[in-house]
Amino acid sequence: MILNFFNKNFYIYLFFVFLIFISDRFSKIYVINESVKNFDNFILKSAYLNIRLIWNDGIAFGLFSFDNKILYNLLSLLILIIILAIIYMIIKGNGFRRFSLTLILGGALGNFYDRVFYKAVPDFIDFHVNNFHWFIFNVADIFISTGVIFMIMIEIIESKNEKK
Amino acid sequence: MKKNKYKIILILIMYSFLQGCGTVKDAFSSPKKNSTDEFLVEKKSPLVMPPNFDELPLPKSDQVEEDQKIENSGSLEALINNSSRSQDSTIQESGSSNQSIENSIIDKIKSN
Repeated sequence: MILNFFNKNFYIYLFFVFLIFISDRFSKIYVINESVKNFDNFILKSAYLNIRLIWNDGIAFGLFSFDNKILYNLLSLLILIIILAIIYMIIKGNGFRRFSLTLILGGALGNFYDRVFYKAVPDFIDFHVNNFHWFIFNVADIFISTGVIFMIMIEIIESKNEKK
Repeated sequence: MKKNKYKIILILIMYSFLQGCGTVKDAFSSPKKNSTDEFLVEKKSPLVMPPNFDELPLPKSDQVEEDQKIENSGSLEALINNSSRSQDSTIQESGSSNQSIENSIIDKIKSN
């Protein structure tokens, strides 16, 4: 099965992962450079969308934000294990499941890169309606969320098919 | 069915670890972290009177004493003399200052 994967669609999925990773890197570098240039984290302010740079050294929704280096490294190690598990699932999986896992892998690698090199993940997309703000996220988070939604949809459809 | 439920829970746990989104609170509270520590600021010591403060002379105490002596003596002539003397001294002072200014201006014109 593994050899089959490497022969057939390996380069297509690798290209997808690379494309997601590069688009995420490009957006992050652009926002960081703009904030450094203007001496301000606020890059764009509009009625529904703000571009504002913040650094998250924890996981989703700012949880597990540690000052302790050992705990931070442990968390990073756990994320690396999850990434390796996703790679294994991509090799093992097929069809649309493989595609959604590729989306998750591209985003996960983008965030993991920042975790290793900057010791925090830069977030900058802030959607809001008046004073109600959604969690600030980045381009990698968009791909991870899309992939996860697809995965949940696959699981729900499969469970319905099993019922029938 | 149960297997699928566990899978969805597993996917959501995995999702929470892979995501890097931060809270809005972080965006608004970050500048506060960089503020100075109030406990590092030293308190100023209270004001203290200098030593031998009572022995220091009062400003223009001699002039006041002289005026008081004249007033106490009560003679009109002494008062008039005193006032004329003080007027002369002020005129002389102003005259000398005017002359010095004139001289400095003339010197500057000559130098140019």
